[in-house]
Amino acid sequence: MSSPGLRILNTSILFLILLFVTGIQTTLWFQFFGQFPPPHLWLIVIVYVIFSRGARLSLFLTYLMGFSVLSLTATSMGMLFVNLLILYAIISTLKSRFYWGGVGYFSLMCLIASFLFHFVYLVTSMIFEHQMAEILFWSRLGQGLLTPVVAIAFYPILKRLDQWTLSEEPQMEVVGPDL
Amino acid sequence: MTLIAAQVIGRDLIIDHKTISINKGTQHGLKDGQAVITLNGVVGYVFRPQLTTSSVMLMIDRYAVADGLIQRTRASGSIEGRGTSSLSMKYIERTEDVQPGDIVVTGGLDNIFPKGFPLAIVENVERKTISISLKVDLKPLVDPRSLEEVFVVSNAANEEFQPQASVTQ
Repeated sequence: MSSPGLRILNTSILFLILLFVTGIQTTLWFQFFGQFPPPHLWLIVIVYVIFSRGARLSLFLTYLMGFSVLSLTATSMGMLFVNLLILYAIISTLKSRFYWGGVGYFSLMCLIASFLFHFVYLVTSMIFEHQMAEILFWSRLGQGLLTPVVAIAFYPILKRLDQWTLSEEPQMEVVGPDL
Repeated sequence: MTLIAAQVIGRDLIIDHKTISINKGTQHGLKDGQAVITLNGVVGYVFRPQLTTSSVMLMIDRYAVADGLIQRTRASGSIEGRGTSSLSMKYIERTEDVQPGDIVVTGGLDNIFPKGFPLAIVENVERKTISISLKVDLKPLVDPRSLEEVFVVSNAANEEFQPQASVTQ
């Protein structure tokens, strides 16, 4: 069992990675790739947290990570939290039903999460906002397809971080969320 | 009219929102609601200034609104973003003379933009028989995809756009 200090270090590094990739997505990406939609780099980190942590902790971290990227988007806190909550519920449920681990599975889940986020955002925008978000089909499609490709590179980095800072492999829960 | 030059340093995290980040903030004199322009036209307005950086809502964002006039006929309306690359002008009476190719300038009533600053060009005008106003589609004069440097208008209230202005950095 890892010490509390190492667990805090692990979480801190995760947040640093989150802020780093979010910075890349908002600042560096368009410098090199112009208007081509960036992958959901920040969502990859959140999906990893959902898979590698217990139910309560992953839910808490999902909200905290959403809060930490709030300053980089015009999306309201309520909208972001609602979307992340729905995303968390669906991804957790899928994880409890179909799980085989590995980079391929993680990439597949990031693909699902990326498209899910867009779909859920459109639905919640239709319900809660008086100006509904535009469909932006090609941008969403490009973003959704690029995210799992990048997730393949992220998985070993995040896995190695857990191996270094957590003394044992994090338990991947295969039961439903602990309500 | 005093302008503060700034560089574009980032885009919005989520593609549904059309915002940019600039490298000037409250310590440089920026405030919420200040107009952001380039030499070619209106870009948007500051909506979340922080200490050293600020978020700018582009006119194409679905929540962006500005007061506008057709330069040729002075027909007034409300310019709204759509979340795509185009704008729409609303609440123009059906009897007004609006033609594709007309230039739309800022009206100055919102106290955000200086009056008379170029904003967009009319692309399409539709007169529906059951509507009391025209449906006008606009194309912004400034391409937000190619923005690198912008100017923040320090105080646009009761200002009218004039060609010469002092620029501070």
